Amino acid sequence: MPALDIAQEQEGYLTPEAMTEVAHALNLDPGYVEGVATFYSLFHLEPVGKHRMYICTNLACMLRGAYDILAHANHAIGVAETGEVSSDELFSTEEVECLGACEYAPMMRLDHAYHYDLTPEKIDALVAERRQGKRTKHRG
Amino acid sequence: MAELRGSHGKARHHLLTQHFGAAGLATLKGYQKLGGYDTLEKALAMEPKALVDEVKASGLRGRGGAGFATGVKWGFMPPPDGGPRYVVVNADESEPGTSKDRYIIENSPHMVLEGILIAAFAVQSHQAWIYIRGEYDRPYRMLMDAIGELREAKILGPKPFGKDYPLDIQMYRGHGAYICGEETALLESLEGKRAQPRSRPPYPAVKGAWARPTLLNNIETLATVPWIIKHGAAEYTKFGTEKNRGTRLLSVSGNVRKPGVYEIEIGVPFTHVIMELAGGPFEGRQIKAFWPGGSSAKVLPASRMDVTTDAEALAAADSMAGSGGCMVADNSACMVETTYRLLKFYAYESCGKCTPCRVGGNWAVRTVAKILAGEGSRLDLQILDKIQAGLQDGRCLCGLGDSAGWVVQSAMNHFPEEFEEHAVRHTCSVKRERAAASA
Amino acid sequence: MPDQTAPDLGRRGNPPQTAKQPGAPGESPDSTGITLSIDGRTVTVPKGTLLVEAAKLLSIEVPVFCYHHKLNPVGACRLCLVEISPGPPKPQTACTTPVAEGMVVRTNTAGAVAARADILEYELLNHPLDCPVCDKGGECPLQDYTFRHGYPTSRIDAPRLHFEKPIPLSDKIALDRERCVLCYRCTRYYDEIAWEQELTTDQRGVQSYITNQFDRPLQSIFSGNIIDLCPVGALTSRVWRFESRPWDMDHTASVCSKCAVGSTTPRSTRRSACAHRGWVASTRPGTMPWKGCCTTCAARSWASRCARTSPTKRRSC
Repeated sequence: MPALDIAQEQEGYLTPEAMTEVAHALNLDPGYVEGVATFYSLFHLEPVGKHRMYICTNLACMLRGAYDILAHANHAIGVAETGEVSSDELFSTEEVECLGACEYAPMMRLDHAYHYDLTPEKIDALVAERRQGKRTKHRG
Repeated sequence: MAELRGSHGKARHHLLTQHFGAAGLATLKGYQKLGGYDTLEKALAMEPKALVDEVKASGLRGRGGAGFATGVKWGFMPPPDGGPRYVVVNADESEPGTSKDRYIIENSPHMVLEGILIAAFAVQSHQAWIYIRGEYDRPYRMLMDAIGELREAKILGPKPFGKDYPLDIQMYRGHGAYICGEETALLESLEGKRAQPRSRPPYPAVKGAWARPTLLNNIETLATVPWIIKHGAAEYTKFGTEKNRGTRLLSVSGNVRKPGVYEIEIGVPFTHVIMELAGGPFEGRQIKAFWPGGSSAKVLPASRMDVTTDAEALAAADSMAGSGGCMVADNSACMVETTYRLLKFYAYESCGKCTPCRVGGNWAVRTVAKILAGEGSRLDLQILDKIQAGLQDGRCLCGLGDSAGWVVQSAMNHFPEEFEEHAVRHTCSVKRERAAASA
Repeated sequence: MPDQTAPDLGRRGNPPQTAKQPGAPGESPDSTGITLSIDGRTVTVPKGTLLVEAAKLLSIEVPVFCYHHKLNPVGACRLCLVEISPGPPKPQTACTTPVAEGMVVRTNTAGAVAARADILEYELLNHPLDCPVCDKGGECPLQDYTFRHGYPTSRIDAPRLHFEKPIPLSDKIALDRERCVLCYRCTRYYDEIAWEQELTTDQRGVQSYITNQFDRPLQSIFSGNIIDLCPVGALTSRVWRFESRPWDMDHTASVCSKCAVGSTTPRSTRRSACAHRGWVASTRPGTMPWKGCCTTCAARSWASRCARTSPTKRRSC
């Protein structure tokens, strides 16, 4: 799996070629690697945005309005459905299960960092920051 | 770092969280200034068996969800046969509503590592693995940094504290699968496979990671070990109830004013946890229900908030202490909707190995979706009831299926009128109230 | 001892298998013999025998999908739930539990009967129920078990899940993912016996399905065996697709003459014309559980014979 991580870092998602390459490097069968890759939700098999918003909508976050946040995030990046990639290929959203930061609900994971106590304004600010190409170090 | 939401500072029952928030606690220097790793040094001078006995005497029980006696589990490890044996630490905290392990790691990674090393020595293992969920970027980095510091300080290496007993800790990141919290699925995942639980026996103590004896413990469990060894089991047993010693961390979340991770003495009632520690409900709202031990624990109505936090009392109330994730819902939450959300979670996270969980979980989701869409009938309630029964009582290979069954069973049991309303009258009074309130 | 869920080998006219299975009839109970009771009847079997095998000796049917006596038990399909005492007060899988002295097993308690019926209902939830056009229809354990252990009426009105089908796994094998009960016999066969990884499971939960890697045709010379291993109509032969019904066939024991192994293979005929040659060759006693080479040579012979003969004589080989 760490090898698949490295492969995914390159393209943003796993292509059949990448999986085959990993398989050959580890002396495994490509089918086996494919089976593993499709099992775990953090491996992407289809193109995703450069900045991926994993928004938790599980119970603790849902009770504090996570679905409104998700809808707002989709609106902010200009997609109709969760999972779509924005037209500038910068963003995509994903509805995920509990991320284990329930006391800071609603929250999401964006660019390998947790963002807490989300409000529509916070989402807008984060999106705008990344649209401008800035990546300030904002850590929860 | 975000503000600390949870226990910290000095209090009689803050065994783990006393120093949380102290400057530099995450560094080796800061931790050692507060007496860190003295306990490991002490432990290394003891007999491994004495350590196991001490933990047994303390009555510490696993904090991952099952609540198995930790000392007994350590005792299950067969005598060393010269081959490798492992300590695998479960940091795949994915139970909805649970964030205590992250809280511990982010505040005091060295406390966790010290516990792991003591456990490794106690069961005569030289190699520990920390399986941490992939989404935990910051805890992962903090543990990696802490391990780096330990290697530099030669506490990890061939001769920790001068004793000829090589110790090492490796990290392994998960990739998004709730099922990896199940111990045998975690081992499969650690071996780089699809995380499908194994059929037991053999238990991991006999045949675990790479078919070798393996001890699996939760982060919180191991983080408690240094305190027990330092102060002695007798001190630890002064806390808690007779069958449930010590303190534990509850992550309180949902519709409360002050959500956070609170260390409590086991046995205090949930009224104290929800109404006092977590600040109670918001202005003008009332608490309606709470899940006392993560989403897998059966939901309880607000009238049962008097129940205490020990496993026996919760079992008597037909729920469980689980992973200590206490989620609170107020009267703005529709119980059919919450059930639907949790079922979706269990269906999505089902590994697909055994039939009931794979198919039954999905069927339950579809049935509740139908009821929520206003297309249900009394028959659907009967079917739902049958599905939940079909998921429980050993029908499934691991506990995930049972949990999905409990979600439906407890919600239908405590809030039958809401299900009835949705399925038969096709309305939702909660939604109406919400709309009226916002108007 | 024939496997219960595989096509009934006896009916196909196979010679009785001589390989010694644990607990095979006629084997004198040695010093390690374990005596237990199943549904009130007592049986003595060697240590290590699985409950499901012990029940077979008494002709008590414990239905199974995932269990196969040549594969390691996994306990995945959960169909073999029985009640065991002493033990926890909930049903256990007979296919993963070894016998123990004095064990009392009950397959017909209310709990066990309900458990099996529920599991079968789950199996049928997304099943297309296309038995009239299924090549397995008539010799299908899913049909038989549902008849014997399932609920007499259906409560399923949910829309079924659909997969693209049939998927050609190779030029000889078709996969129908809707019929699949995910017993993992085929993938485990690949893992444990063929030692290859061409066939794997993708995705998880209810979306899991069996797949060949990146849709490349199966190359393994052992691949044909999975057709016979499949307990339902998910893996069927493309060579003999939609050509006959199982009850039209006569079966004769035969030996494959295509290579030096001389594998035992059933020869099926329909109206005196050879219809189908079984893929699985039985294991000879004392040898590795090695499974003959019939896919390759049978298929080669098929193709060459069919090409050589006129259309009217196609089926006489």
